[in-house]
Amino acid sequence: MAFPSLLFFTVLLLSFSYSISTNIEGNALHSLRTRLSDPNNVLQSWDPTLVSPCTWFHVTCDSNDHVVRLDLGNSNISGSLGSELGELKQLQYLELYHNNIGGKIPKELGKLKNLISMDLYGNKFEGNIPKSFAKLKSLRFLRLNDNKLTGSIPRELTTLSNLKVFDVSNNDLCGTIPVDGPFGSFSMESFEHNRLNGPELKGLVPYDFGC
Amino acid sequence: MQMPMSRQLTLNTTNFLHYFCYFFLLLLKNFPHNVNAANNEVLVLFSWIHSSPSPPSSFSNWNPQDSNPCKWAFIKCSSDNFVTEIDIQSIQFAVTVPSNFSSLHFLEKLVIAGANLTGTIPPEIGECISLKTLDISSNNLVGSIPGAIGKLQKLEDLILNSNQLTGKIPSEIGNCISLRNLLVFDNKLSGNLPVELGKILSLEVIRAGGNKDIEGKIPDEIGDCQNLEVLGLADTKISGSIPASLGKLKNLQVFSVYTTMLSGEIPPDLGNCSELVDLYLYENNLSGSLPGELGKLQKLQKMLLWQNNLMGSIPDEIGNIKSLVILDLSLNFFTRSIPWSLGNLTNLEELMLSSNNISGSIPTSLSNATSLIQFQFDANQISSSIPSELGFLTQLEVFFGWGNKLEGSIPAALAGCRSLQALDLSHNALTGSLPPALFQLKNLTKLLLIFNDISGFIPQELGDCNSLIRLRLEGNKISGQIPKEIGFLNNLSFLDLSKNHLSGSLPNEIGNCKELQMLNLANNSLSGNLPSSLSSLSKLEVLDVSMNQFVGPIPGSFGELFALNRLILSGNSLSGAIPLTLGHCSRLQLLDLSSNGLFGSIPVEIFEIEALEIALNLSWNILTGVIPPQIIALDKLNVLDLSHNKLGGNLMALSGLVNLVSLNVSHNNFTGYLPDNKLFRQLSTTELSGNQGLCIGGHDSCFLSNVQGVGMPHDRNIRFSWRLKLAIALLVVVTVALAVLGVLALLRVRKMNKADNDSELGGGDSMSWKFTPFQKLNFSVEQVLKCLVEANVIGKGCSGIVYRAELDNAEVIAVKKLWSTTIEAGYNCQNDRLGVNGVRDSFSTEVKTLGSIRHKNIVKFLGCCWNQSTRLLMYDYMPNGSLGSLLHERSGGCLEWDIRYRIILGAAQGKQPIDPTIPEGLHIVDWVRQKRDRIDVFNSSLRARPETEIEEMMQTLGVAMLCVNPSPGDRPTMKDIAAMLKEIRHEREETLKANSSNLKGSVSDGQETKSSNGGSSSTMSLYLQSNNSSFSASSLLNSGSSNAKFRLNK
Repeated sequence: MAFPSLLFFTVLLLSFSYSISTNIEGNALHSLRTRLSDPNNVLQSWDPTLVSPCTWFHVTCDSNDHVVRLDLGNSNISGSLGSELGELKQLQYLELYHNNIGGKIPKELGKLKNLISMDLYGNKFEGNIPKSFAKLKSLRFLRLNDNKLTGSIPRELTTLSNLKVFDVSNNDLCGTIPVDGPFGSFSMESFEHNRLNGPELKGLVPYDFGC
Repeated sequence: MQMPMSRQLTLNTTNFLHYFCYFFLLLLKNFPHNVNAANNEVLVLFSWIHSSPSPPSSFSNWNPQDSNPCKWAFIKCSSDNFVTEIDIQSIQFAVTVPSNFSSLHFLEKLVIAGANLTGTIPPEIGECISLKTLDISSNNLVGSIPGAIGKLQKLEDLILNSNQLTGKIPSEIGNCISLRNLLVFDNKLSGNLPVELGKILSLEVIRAGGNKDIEGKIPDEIGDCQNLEVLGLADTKISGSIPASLGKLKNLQVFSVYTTMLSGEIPPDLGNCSELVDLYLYENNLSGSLPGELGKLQKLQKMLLWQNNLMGSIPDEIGNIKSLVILDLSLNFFTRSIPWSLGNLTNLEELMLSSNNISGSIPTSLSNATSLIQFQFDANQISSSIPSELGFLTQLEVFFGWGNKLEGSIPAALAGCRSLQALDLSHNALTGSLPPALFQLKNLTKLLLIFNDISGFIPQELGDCNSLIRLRLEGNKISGQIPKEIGFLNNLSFLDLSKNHLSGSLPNEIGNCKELQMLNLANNSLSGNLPSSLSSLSKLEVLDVSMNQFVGPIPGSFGELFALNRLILSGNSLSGAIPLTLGHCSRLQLLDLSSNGLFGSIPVEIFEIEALEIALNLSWNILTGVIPPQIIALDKLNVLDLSHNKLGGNLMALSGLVNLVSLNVSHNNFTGYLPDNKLFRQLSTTELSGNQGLCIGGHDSCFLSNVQGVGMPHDRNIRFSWRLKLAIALLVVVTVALAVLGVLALLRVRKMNKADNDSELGGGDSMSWKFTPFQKLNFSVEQVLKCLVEANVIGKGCSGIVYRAELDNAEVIAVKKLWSTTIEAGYNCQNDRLGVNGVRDSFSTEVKTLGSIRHKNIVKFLGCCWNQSTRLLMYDYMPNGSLGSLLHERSGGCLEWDIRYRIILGAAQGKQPIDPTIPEGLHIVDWVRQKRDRIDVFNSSLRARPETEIEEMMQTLGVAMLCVNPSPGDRPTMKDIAAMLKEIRHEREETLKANSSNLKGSVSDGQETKSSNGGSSSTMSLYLQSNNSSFSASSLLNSGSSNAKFRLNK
């Protein structure tokens, strides 16, 4: 008799954690909404009283009702991002390109272990590229170009072995360009229009040369 | 007299006045009722208001000639004409807090609020010993609260809120024994609350919330403030448990410590705070159970305890708090059932129990709580049916019970809740059918019953409820047809009927729901054609009718769905061709037409949908033809599924889809090889299988490098046809190239002839100049032209003459006049690779690259101007000469090799011509190339360097030559360059280590011993050498050496 009751308990637990998790994701998106100014009303459908955010526009969920995509490119939204986006644990696509979003890129985005693509280009982001991005092991596309980012390109990003496209052009980055890992194959166009000092020369020049 | 430090911070004039007044006051002490005393107050006040750059007009009657200020605006005086009150509110004038008001001997009330005051609170405020009210709230004050405030023994109101004050609340405040109101909220104060607050028995209000760095416990001693009515510490880092001593506060009305770090249990003693009206303890870490003693609080109106770790049952005694208006216990761990006694709360408007572990049933007694406006108990374990008695709650507007185990049917009596606006009972186990009466609710905007077991039909009364904005019945067992009355719902924006058992056709009337943004009918048994009336839903963003039995074609009018973001028609029996008009749905991000009977070819118009990035799924149809090359336009697309069709041709068109993450082309008639990129190499066989003519061997031989365009497979087993194609292609390429070259050569001859007719500069003066500044410039073209005379020539290069131009504003710039096309006198520039149009190009290339680059290694480009014959480039003038002159003209010293090495590095990093006077890069290259094996490429003084250095120079030159290889493809990557340069240095360092004693001898200052970076100390010392040389010209070297210095001094 122990086994069926255990099974029941597990199912119970699962169903509980399910409702909580969609709530967490919905709350995360809702608090994102409160940070954003949305003149075109693209976030109108983001109703916090809904059971899950999966039916909100520009949000895509997987079959388990986890948010896997956030598509808000070209949406004329402004404001800033907060740590709450780090709660979207299953997120694969974070598409926020060509908006007017400013402030720092929250380091909590490094918690998005399943992220495949992060497109923040064409905004007004400032501050550093978070080192925590080195934890995004699934990341294939990272486009941060056309912002106001400063500081150096975190060397830690060289461990992102799946990274296929990397673009930080048109920012205000300094230091040298990593050469290891996927960085060996990125074209120079990805680094143009910064204050970067060419490739990293290990041991010869400090990595953050000119910062 | 030595001035105290703190006073030096205030304005000098104020200081002077202060001392002046102080001195004056000393005199007056002997004549306390002298009329001159009032004059002093005039002086003090007048000088203070005139420290503002522009005193507001409301101060216009502040006349310094008056014998006293008693008739002035904002001023009140005692009967013997001394100032007792200053009350200035909401008038913006940027001045500091007056530090000399201490001479206003009888000042009792000082209010300067919302006045944009700046600076700090001067400690002299402690001298205003008559003060009863000090209100300088809503200003821009910084600094700390001076401890001198403790001298104000008569002070009753200290109101400092909404400033930028920092530091602790001073413990001296405990000496303000008359204090009643302490308002310091919304500042940047930090530290603990002073225990001395407990000494102020007169305290009525403490509000210190909104100071994010106030920390520590609530002092037990606060319990001694027996007159305390308000204790506000919200949004701070207050921690620890709530002191039981607070139970002594018989007058406490507001206890507001939310969004802090309180932990521990709520002390039962709080039940003794019999005057308590508002209890705000939400967003803390409070644990334990809720003490029943709180039921004694007969005046309590709002109990907000949400988001804590409270557990156990909700005590029955809560039902005794008859005055309760809002009870919010959400986001805790309460268990057991909702107490029956809550039905006694006839004043209760909001009962919020969401996200707990509450079980049992909904007590029918709640029908007596007739004031209820909101009842939310979502995300609990409540398992009863919904009592029909709840229909008596005529005020109820919001009823959220989603995420429970509610069973039984939705009682028709709920229609009695005639104010109901939102009903959400999703994720329960409700059965029965939709009560038609529900749709008589005139205010109902949201009806959400997602994932229940509701069966029966959608009643045609649905059409009566045209207040509905969201109707979501997803995941039930509702059958029958969608009633045509749906067309009356002209406010409906979300309609989700997916995952039900609906059948029949989709009524045409759906086209009347003009506000629809989302229409989800997926997973039903709907049949018939897709009504073309759908195309009038101009606000529709999501249309999902997948997994039904729709037949017929996709209406071409769908192209009018301008707002459409997702179109999902998969899993039907749709036939015909994919309408070309879908290409007009320019906002479409996801298009899924899979699993239908669509035939014909893929219309290229689909590839014009720029937004299409999430997915394009055309699988399981009968599509024919090839993948049109225009698919390359979908460069944002992430998922592409073309599987299970009859598509043919090769897959090369897919090679450019850089953002593709998932691809399935299986079960078609594709042939040929696979594009050689990461995506295709990672594809599994299942995503490629079922294509008989497709090479999917799973090894290198199947990949065709698309870099070469028409290139060849990697293996040697090339079929004859491939060779033939290759040969033809090559032939075509060569022919085209020759033709282009011929045309260009012809053009150049014509241009040269034309240029012959222009004079070199003279013509330029008369012709109109075009001027493009890349910076903000304060001079005109004419000023620049005046300076272009022989006397100002500072250099000649392959591409032109460089002038030093001193402008009218004494600014000095360098102007490079590019050789016109015919003037190449003495400077053989023809042998560059661009050949025919080399010189013309040097202008546009230089302008293009320099204008957009802000690289510190490149001289700052100011702008350019040109007319038909002359082109001028303007740069910052570098007084110590340019890199070019350093390399070639510098008398005396010669550049150390190490510096040259770093210049090469810098140039490699900049990847552009460094300087206006350096000959065009290509020219140098050809010159070096001619001599590449010879050491005489190097300056003669360099040739005298030690052999190891010369070796290093030769190696670096070799790297440089690789970088300018005529074929871009053969040039090394930056990674390679870095590796090679590093390798060169590494060899050198090895040598240096061997000869370390020699090296140390050559380093001046001996600073290398300070190097924190032991591994590279020899490199650092080499940098130092450069630092010690006499150079200051190049920004590269300057910043480089200062950087090295910085590193060493760390």
